[in-house]
Amino acid sequence: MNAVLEFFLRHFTDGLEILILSAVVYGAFLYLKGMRGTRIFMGVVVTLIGLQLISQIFDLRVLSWLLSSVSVFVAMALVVIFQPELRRVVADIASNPLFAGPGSKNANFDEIIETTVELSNRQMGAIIAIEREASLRVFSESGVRIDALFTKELMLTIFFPRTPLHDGGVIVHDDRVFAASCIFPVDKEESMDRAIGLRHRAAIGLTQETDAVVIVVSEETGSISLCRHGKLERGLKPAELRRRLTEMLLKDSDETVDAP
Amino acid sequence: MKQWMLHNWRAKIGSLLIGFAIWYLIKVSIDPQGVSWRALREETGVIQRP
Repeated sequence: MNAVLEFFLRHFTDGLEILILSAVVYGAFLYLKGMRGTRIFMGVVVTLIGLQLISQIFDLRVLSWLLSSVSVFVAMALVVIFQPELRRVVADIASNPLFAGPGSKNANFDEIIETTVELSNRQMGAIIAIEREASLRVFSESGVRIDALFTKELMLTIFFPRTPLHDGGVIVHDDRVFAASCIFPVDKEESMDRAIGLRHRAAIGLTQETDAVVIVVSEETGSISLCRHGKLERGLKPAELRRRLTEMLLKDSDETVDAP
Repeated sequence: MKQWMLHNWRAKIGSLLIGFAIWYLIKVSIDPQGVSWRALREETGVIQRP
């Protein structure tokens, strides 16, 4: 009994350290879960740790030297490969209330909903990205700068088929239409439903990289979708859209409802 | 508590193993004599190196 107690007291701090590290790893896993490329990232990290452990236990000096030489390049490669994910992590940190500044105010909330419903009724394809803490300036550069007050009439004009600006997304900053005809990064996940069109994939792609909230109106069906943090909520009714937008933009609640 | 433990248990066990592996690697590099597997083997004489 004394031996057990002695062992416990001797290794208490070690156990605590292991538990803290495990909690950090588990937290990182939960955060990264569902992101594009998480499996590859976890696979590379686990393989490297496993090889390092084996080389340490069996005193494999050549392997150990090789791993220590290669690890710097692997780290650089991971940064380059997972640049979009890292951008999202930074955006999430920036959108944290602890670090966030005054942020954007989406004053014309009703106007956005009204416009979306009208676009849906007319079956006009549209993608509207509402900027939050993370800047969408880099994406606005691919389009045409508008910088006009957000109005239903303006949006219906922009998304009217065969007009020069209808192809691409609109970026809304505060209560203004910042840019139109913008090209958003498209999610390339192959396992995704084939029925999901390019607009919806662009919404997922953009929200995977930034904290923006994106509204998509399907050109084929006129259905309304809402996307945040790479999660798409499809087939929303106007009342549901209002409720979810309120939760996302005003109450700033984290996603509690998963995509159906 | 039991429900929490059983929920996503694979990820929890995996995280614990990875956490232990990271701890071991760091511990070995900062305190080679304290925890090294090598030192343990030499003490017990399981593997004798020439």
